[in-house]
Amino acid sequence: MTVNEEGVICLPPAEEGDTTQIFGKIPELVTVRYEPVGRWYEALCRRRLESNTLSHQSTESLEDEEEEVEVGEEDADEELLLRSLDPKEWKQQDHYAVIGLRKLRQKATYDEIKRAYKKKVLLHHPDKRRARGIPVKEGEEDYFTCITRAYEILGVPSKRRSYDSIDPEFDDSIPSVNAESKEHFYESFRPVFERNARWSTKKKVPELGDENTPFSDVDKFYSFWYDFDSWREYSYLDEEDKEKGENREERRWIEKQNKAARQKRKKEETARIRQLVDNSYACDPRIVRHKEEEKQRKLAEKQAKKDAVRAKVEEEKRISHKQSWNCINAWSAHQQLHLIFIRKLKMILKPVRVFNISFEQIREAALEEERKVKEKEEEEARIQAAAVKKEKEALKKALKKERKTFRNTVKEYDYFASDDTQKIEYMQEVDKLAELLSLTSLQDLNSSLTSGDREKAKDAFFKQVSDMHVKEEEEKRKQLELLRSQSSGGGQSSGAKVIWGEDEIQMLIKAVNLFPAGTAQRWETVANFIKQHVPSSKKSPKEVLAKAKELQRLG
Amino acid sequence: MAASFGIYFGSTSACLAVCKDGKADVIANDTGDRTMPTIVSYTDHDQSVGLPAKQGIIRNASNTISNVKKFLGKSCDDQEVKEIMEKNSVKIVNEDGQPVFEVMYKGKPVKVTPVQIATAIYKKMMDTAQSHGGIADSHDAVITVPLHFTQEQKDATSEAATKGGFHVLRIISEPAAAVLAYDIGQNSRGSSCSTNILVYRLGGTSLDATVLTVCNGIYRVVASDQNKEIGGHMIDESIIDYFAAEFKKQWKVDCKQNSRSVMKLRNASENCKHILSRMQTAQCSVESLYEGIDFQSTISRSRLEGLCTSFLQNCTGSLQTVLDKARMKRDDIHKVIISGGCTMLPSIQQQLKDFFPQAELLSSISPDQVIAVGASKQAAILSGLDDVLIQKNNEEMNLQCLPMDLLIKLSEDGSYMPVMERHTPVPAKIQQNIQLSQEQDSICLKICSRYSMSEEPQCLAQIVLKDLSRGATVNAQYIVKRDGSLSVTCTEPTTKKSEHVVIECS
Repeated sequence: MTVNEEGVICLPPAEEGDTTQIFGKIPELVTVRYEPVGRWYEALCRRRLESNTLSHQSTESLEDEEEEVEVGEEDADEELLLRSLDPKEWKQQDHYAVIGLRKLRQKATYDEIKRAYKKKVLLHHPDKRRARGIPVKEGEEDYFTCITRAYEILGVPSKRRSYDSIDPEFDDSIPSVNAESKEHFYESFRPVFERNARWSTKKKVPELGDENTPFSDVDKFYSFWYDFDSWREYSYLDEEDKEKGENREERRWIEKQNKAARQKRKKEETARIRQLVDNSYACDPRIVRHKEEEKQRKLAEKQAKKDAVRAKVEEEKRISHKQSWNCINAWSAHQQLHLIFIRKLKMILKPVRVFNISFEQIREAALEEERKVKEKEEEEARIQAAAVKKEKEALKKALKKERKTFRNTVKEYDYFASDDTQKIEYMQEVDKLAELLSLTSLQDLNSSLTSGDREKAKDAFFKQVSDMHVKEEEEKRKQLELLRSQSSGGGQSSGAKVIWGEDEIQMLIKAVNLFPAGTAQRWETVANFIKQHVPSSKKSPKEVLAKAKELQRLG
Repeated sequence: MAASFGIYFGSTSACLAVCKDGKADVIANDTGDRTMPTIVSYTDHDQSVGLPAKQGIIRNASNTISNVKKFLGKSCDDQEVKEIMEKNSVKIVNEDGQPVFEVMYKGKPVKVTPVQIATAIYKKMMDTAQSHGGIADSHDAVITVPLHFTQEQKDATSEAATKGGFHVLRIISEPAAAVLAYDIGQNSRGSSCSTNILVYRLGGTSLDATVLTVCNGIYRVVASDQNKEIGGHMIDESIIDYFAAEFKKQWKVDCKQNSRSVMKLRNASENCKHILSRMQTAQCSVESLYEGIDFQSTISRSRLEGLCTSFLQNCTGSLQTVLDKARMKRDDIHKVIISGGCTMLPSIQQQLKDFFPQAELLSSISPDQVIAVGASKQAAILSGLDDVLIQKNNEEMNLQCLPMDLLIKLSEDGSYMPVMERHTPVPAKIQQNIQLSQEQDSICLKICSRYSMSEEPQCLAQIVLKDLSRGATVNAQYIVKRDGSLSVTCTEPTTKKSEHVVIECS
């Protein structure tokens, strides 16, 4: 804004009949090149960049400054309230009501408070009232101090906050847990939460929601309220003002007292909020429902777990079966059965593929079948074996019994002996007989022995003894013959059994180890080796090979 | 506050000024000089810039590049370049249409572009700037170019400065920088009357005369004239001729036969010229000028003035030309600013004074540094501003302006008072207070427009306020909006009587 410095300008007076008139127009603007130099150039550019023109700017700023507070009519209630105020008791007054914002309360903005205060000042300032002829009390006694006090509190954010914290109009009550609040849960708890949400330091307070709110939101709501961070503080209720202390110690003491009181109240407040949330949590039908669902779910989970365990065990069992069966299969003598089974399986699988049923399933079913067949067979074999064993045992038992009876009867007959030497001789014979005789012949002998006739028994006994001797003789002879035939026909007959001496076998093992597979003309060398060490031996390489193979098979 | 630099890069010398804490000053370089010759030389072992290069020119003329400003951003097709290429001591080759210097550097032929040379000079200035205490980390600079520089030449200069380590905020014209150096129109917007300034620059190789108008603190070039025939070198030539004649008279030999002798004599002559700017007489002594003969002589200022009478006469020739171009009379020029080393000669200043007897000759800032000082002041204005904004403003040099003078009629006998001058950029706003006399209870404000001084103003509108209290003051406010329309409001504050007219723009 430039004011012409040349100061006073004098203009001729207007003639009679002269009026404000426009005669012409401003010619079109021209574009002129300027040097981009100097601060006024920058200022001009800045101004051009801004959307507002000069005139706009100035008018706006004027409007801001000359903001007028309209003095409206005050209602009688407010007037009455103000008149009833006691300036000494200003701390107990409702500051919002005093300033005329009873309804807005903490929702009032700073501007609104300022405006309301200005309005009140214009109406109630002692000077103004005196001008209107209304009596005014002296100094501090007048109720106008209450208005200034109210503005002092509400006009300063920190003080307003402490006053808001203990707002007398605030309802601290919380619904209790009972059938009533459970039934009308939303109606009874929603306003409570809404009213307490104002203490939250976080601006975004979650809503209580309704019946259809998803549980995640409900959960969020409760976790918010359980971690509720409140700005509510109780400095306004301080018993004594710290500043009133006469010295540092006193001030410190007051501060301590105040702090303790504040903390106590704060604790109570926290407990109150906690109680509210607890009560709500207990009454919330959604929570109850959710708990029920949770329970059901847990049960189902448990069941499912059980099932899973069982299934797992079964699976393991089946896998072990399969493994054992596979093992059996590997070396099973029933190769053919297996082949048949495979063929069968393939036949099953063909249509299965068409029906697109899991191959594995079918395979498992087939395996199961196979397994069953196998088990049955095994069982049968076992039973049979058991039967055979039983029979054998029975036979053994019978034999033992017969032997005993035989011995006892012979003993009863005093071994049919006349003297002791004969007796000892016969005793040996009896032992031999008992061992050698078969069950049937022993039975026969026993029956004849126990017939009661001593002579007859003696005959039978001696006959048996002699028979035994004859048999023994025969056996001995047979053995001799065998030996003879072996020694005579050992070299020529491949079919005939070749007799191997102990030392020969030892040497053979040694030689085989000494000359490992791959040695040139191994078996000839081995044979020579044996011949060298056992001069009596005359084994051909072929025999050596046969014997070695036999040994290998046995070993 | 960060320091900001202003750089003047001339064809013979360069100057670096810094503006720090609102004070602009020139930084002296490592040799203690406040200006630096724009000469770069290449030798067998190094590259030297400034005074060392100038001192080596006698022995190493073919590898010493001077006058690089003439080549910046120009192609070989340029007439001026062609002329210089023909007679330059340094070999200049044409490479892709661009002139390139070919020098022997460390025993090898090396090609250097004009931008590289300029970069070397800017780097040297950067070193000087860094060595100056307390401004080590500042790079912001405003560089100056002659008014007639094309965009290519500006780009080349800017490129060299950027490569030299400066952050170029803006390129401004040399005459505007000179005006800014004297803070003309900067302190307050002052009167709406414009100030006409003639910037007279006599440099090493050319003469420039520029008329600027400062209106509302904004500078506008009205007219300019350049004479490339005239330059400081002509004075040198006169002195050389004088000394050579002296030498010949003494020894009967022509020392101008030997180019090295001429070089030696030129250096000595230049020194004498500088001394004569301040002193009445100058001593000249050259050892072994020619064939082992030492030369000693004296020259007085009056002698010098006598030597270059024709030159001095030519100097004022351009002044009339530029005034004709600006359609101004000698008396219209309010201030004359001198710049360029040659204007330090008292005879030239005297000539200017004689030419503009009414004008104030501004010479308090050394003429060879005034442009750099102005540039540094501009840098101080720009530093701290948003870079984007600066770039945007760099482009916005064309402004919408009022096409005519806006006047108010003071009396019936035809006396007028200007409200807004022609070429006032819009939007604009002026306030006036009108005093009523004791016998007066009404006013009639007539708003008139005028295209030229010779023309009779034309009335656009009149505002009438009646029945005012006698001796009251009426406030008149004139606002020209962006679209060119003028709104005038007259208000009498006590009675709140007010009249308002809006004059549309056609």
